[in-house]
Amino acid sequence: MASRLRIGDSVVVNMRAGFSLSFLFLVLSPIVFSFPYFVYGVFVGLDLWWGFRSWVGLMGSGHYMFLLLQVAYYACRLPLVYVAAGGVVFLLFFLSMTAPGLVVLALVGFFVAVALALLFGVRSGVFRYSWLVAAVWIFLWNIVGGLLSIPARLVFGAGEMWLWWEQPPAHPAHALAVGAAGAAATLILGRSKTLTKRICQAAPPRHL
Amino acid sequence: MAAALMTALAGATIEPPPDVVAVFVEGDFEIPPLAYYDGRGFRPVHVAYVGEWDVAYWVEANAPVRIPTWSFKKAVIYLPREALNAKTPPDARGGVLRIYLNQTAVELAEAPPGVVATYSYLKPDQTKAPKTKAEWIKRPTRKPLDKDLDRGGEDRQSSSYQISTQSTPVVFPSGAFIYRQYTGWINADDEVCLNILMPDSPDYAPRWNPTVASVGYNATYVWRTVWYVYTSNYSRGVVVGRGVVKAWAVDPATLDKKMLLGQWAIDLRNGYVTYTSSIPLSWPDQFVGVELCFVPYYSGTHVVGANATLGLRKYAIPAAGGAYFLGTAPVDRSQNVGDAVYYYLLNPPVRNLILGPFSLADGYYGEGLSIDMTVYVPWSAPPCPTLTVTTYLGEFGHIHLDSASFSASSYGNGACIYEVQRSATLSPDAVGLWYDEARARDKAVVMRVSFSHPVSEVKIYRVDVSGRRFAENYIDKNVDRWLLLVLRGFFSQTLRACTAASLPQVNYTALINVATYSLASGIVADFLAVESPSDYGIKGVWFRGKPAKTYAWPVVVYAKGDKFEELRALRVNVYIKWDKSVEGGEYGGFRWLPINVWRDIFEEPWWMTWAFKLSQVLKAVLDFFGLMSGPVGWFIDRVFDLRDLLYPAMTMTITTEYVDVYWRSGIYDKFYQVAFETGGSTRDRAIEIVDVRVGTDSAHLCMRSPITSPMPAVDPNAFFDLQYLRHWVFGMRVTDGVPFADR
Repeated sequence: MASRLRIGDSVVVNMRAGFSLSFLFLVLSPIVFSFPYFVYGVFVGLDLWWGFRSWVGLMGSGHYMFLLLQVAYYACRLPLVYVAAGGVVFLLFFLSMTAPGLVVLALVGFFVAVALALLFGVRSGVFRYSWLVAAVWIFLWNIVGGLLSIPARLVFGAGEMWLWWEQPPAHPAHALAVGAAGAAATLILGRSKTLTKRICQAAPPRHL
Repeated sequence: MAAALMTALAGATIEPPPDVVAVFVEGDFEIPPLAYYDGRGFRPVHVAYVGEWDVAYWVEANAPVRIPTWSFKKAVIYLPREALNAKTPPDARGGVLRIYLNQTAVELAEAPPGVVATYSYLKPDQTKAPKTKAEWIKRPTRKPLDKDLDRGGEDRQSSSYQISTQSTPVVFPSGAFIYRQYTGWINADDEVCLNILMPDSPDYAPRWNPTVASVGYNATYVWRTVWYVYTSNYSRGVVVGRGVVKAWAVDPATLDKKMLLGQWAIDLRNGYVTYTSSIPLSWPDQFVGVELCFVPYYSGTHVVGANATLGLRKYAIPAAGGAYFLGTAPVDRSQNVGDAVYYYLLNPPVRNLILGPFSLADGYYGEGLSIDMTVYVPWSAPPCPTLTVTTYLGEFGHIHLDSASFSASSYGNGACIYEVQRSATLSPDAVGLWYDEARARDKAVVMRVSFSHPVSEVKIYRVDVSGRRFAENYIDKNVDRWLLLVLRGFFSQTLRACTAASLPQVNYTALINVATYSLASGIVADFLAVESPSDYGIKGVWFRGKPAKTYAWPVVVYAKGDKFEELRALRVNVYIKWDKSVEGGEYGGFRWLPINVWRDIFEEPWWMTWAFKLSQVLKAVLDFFGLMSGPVGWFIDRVFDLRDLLYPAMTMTITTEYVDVYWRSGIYDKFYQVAFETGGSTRDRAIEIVDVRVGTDSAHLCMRSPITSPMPAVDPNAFFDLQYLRHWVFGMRVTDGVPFADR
C-alpha cells in the first residue's frame, strides 16, 4: 500500500519492534519537560531580560510538548502540526513577561497547551473521540503522576521564593522526577482500555 | 673608635644591638628610608626619627602642655658594622647621605623600591647617640615615608589612575587591621601568626580565629605595619626575631588561604616598635589577605603585637558626583502628611551626624584632624538653623574636645548652605604607640555635626577629612563599648559582578547607601534602609539579624516606588523556613511573624484576579484538593510563579544563630529606596547586610561582601537626639565589563 507523506501525517509507526517509536516518545518526555530547567542559567546569562523571557517561552512550550508526547504515546504518532502549535504556546508565555498586565497570557498559554494536547487525543481517537474521556484521563493522569512524584516533592520541598535572576523556579531534578512520574502515569493509565484506545495496536491510524 | 662609640652609647635610652653603630644625624632635608650597598645589593638600615618638644594647648585640661613633634630632619641611624665604608654605586637613584665617622665615611642611599626599610620614633630625651657630621652629597627625592603616608603617599600612588571626572575630593578611608597581642612561649624558629582582633561579643565573632585579614581586591599596598616585640630574656634593642608580612590569595567567601603571593621579613628589635612601609599589594585581580607572623630567633616567652594599615586604590564615584548623602533621599515633608509615621521612621529628624570614629594610624602626638565640607540642608525659609561641629575623643567619645558653631553662609534653592572648616587637635595624653585594641580606642576621634533644629535631610558635598585617618575595621564593632553613634565616612568597595566566577569588572558603576539605625522613643525598632541614588533600582536585599533571639518581631518592608514617590508600607509574599533545631526547646515561644500577604493590597484588574482564582480552583480539583500535585498542577504552579514575580517576595530562614531575610522586588518594580523595620531590643545585636542587588533591565550588580552593622543597645532614657541612632552609611560600587586594574 503506497501512500504519500504529507505535513501533518504521522511519522514512522512500528509497533512490532521491541523498542517502538511510541515508547521513545514516552522516554523522551521527561527530558523535554525538565530540559528548560537545566538550561536556565544559559538563557539568563545570555541576556538578563530577553533571555529570561525566552526561557519562560521555552518552559511553557516544553510543558506543552510533554503533554503532547503523552498522548503521542497512545496515538503512536506525533503530527507536525501539533508540534508546530508549540510555537503558539511559546509566544503566549514569552509575551506574558513583557508587561505587568500581560502575565495573564501565561494562563491562556496553559489552557491552550492542555486543550491542544487533548484535542490531539480526541481527534486521533485515543480518547474514543470524546472530550469527557479526555477530561477524566487528564484528571486521573495528574493524580497518579502526583502520587508517583510524592517522594520527589518530599525531597525538594515547595514554596520557595523564586530568585529569578539566578535560578529556575524549581530544581531541575525535581522537574525531571515529575516528568518521569507523568510518563509512568501515562504507562499505567494506558493499560485501561476504557480510558484510552491504543490505536497503534488496535487499528491503523485513521488517515492510512 | 668602636669602643669609644660603645661607651658613648652606654647611656642611651635605647641601646643598639652589639653589631650595630648608632649615630645621631641632623640635616637640612627630611630623611627618607635609607639603605646601604654591600657590593651585591641594597640592604636597609633602621632609622629612628628624633622628636622635638613643642608647646600645645590642651583644651580639656585648659593648660599648655609639652608635646613632641617630629621634623624628620633629625634621626638616629643604626648602621650595621658591615655597612661601614659602604659606597653607593654611582648609578643609584635618589639622594645619597654621607656620614663621617672619625676616619671613615658611610654612604647611604635612599632605599629603592622593594627594600623594606624599618623606622621608629624617639622622644627628644630618648636620644643619647653621638652626633656625627653628615651631608647630602645628592639631595633626597623622597620624603620620609611617614610624612607622605596620609595624603601624599596615596596621591602619588593614585595619580596615574585617578580619572578626570572626579571633580571633588573623595574620602577613602584606608583600611587597617589590628592583630591580637600574643603572649607566651615560642620555640626558636617556630612561627606564630597573630590572630585578627575580633569583636568582643561571641554573638558576632566567628568561632574560628582567623589570622588572615581580609583586604579584598582594591588595596594597593600595606602602607604600614607596626610591630612590637618584647622578651625579658634579652636587653632592649637586640634583634630577637623577625616579623613576616605575608600576602595571600584568599577565597572571598570562606577566607581560606589559597596561595602565598608574597612575603617580606623584617628584623624586630626587643622592646621597641618597628615600622615597615610601602609593601606593594600588586595583585589587583586577587582577593588578598594579609597575615602577620613572628619567628623568634631564640626560645622564650615573648609578647608580640602588630597591626597593619592599608593604602586603598582611589576611584572616582561618578554616580555620587562628589556628593555625600548623609541621610536618605529627598523628601518633601508637605507631601507626606498621611504617612508622617513612616516618614519619621525612615527619615528621622537629623540632629546629629556622627563622623568617625577616626583614629590615629599609630602613636603620634598632637595629631590634627580637620574637616572641610559644604553642607546643604533643605529648609523652607530663612532663618537657617545653626550648625555645630563638636569633637569628642576617647574610648567612649566621652572627652569633649571642642565645638564650634556655624551660621549658614547662604540660602538658595530651598536649602541652607554651610561652609564648615574645622580642625581638632588630639589630646596629648592619648599618646603612645598602640598595638592593641584599647589604645586604638583611646585615640579615636568622633566629630558630631548637629543642628539647632531638627532637619529632615543633610547633604554633604565636598567632604575632606584629613589628618591621620582610617576607618578601622573592627574598632567600632565592640557594640557594648560604643554607645555613641557611628556614622562612618563614605565607603567604597570594588565588588564582584553577580556571576560568582568573574572577577570584579567594571563597566557600570552603582552606588548604594546602606544605613542602619535604631529607634527607642515610642517604639523600639531597628531599621535597615537601602537607597540607590543612581538609576539602578533595588532588586534584592539579603540581611541577617544576630543573635536570632533578639529578633522576635515581624519584618515590615517600606519602599518608594521611585525617587520621589511617597513612601509606602510594602506587603510581600512571605516564605518562612524554620531550622528544625529552632522549634521547641529553649526557643519555644520564639516567633518571627511575617506581615500580611500581598493579595489584599496590590492592585490588579478584576479579570486577572478572577482568571487566577479560577485556575486556583482548577488546580485544587486536579490535584485532588492539593494532596497530590501532579504534572498539570506543576504546570499551573509555574504560571503562578510568573505572576508572583510581579510582586515583591521575602523569605525568612530562622536558625538558632540568626534570622536570615531575603527580600526581592517585583520584576517590574523600580524601587530606589527600601527599608526594613524589625523589632528592636535592649540587647546588643547586629545586622549583617549580606547582599544588596541593584539592577536595570539589562544588568544586575551585586554586593557580595557582607558588612556587619552593630546595633548597640538603645538606652530609652538617653537624650531624645541620641535615640535616633544611625550607624552606617555604606557606599557600594559595583562595576562590570572593564578590568579595573588599569583604570
